[in-house]
Amino acid sequence: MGVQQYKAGFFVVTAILALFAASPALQRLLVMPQTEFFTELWLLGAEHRAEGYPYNVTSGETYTVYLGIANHLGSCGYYVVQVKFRNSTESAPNSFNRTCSTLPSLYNLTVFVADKAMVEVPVTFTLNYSLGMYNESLPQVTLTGIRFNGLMLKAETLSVWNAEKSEFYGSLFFELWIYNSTTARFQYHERYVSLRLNLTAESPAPA
Amino acid sequence: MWKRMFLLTLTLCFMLSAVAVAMAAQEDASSALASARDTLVQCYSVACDAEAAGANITELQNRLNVAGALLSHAELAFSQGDYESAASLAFQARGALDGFIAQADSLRASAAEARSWDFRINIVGSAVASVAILAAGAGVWHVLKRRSNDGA
Repeated sequence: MGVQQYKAGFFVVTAILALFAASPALQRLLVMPQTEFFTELWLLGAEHRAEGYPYNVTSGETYTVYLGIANHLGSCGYYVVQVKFRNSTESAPNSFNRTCSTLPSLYNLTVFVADKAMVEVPVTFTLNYSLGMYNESLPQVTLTGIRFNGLMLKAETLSVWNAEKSEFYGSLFFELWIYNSTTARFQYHERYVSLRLNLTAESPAPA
Repeated sequence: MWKRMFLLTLTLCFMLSAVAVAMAAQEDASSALASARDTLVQCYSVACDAEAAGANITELQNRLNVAGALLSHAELAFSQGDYESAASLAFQARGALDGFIAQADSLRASAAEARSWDFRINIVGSAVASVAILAAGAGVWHVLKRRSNDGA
């Protein structure tokens, strides 16, 4: 019988050692290819959490949120985030149709993100508006400008009182656009995040 | 009469020159913005090449973001009619990317070299080691088998 009885064991041990030695090469060859290419866009509250977003805002008060972008496109991305503000009747971006708002951008944030990296941009904003009357019975607020990250932006719109929801509706939203190297143009990247705001008056809101 | 005509001509000349100066400032700012945008796209492209070669482009990304923020400010200033600030900020955006292409090329070359060594050591090295272990195993088994047969 001799060493023959150890034949299987010997070759199994040798094969395991060979596989162990080959593992660095196998590690590179057997990696599953990336199949999904996308960009994440998110908004966090002042505490860096997905809560505590400003809703009841006051004219002249400054609020902070964090805008984040993570790149999983397989190569670095050149993004522009278009900052827009709308009332309840103005054009909104649509997740279902994947279309952007037709409103003009108030400000363009330019952001570069390496592949598998993320960039977080602190956003501070102050809304300047005044309370008035839309007609004899319907109050309204008139937005005159937004201070965004210390820069004064021209944003002129008005929001009438919504009695059903007890709010002067306003939405500050951020649309993601990406640079297309082939066409040498920016195109809508079909992602946006928004902040629903109630533009509260100094005086108590009417019932 | 002549005095009045002279004053009118003078006022007209002054207004025309003011308009010409404003238009020139707008044109200067516009071309400075276009130039900054082109530089940013060019730098973005070389950063992508460096990344594709396997380089860590975090530092390049940070530099691009600094220049991008300046460009955004410049565009805002331009849209608000502040052409002097727009031109100045666009110029600063370009300045923030001085030496960028050389830095990206250097990172790309380093990454390509590192990748070459990585290939030699991890792919070729480990494949050769694996084959050597199998060959050694077969050799050892052959020797052991012969000794066992000789003993019997």
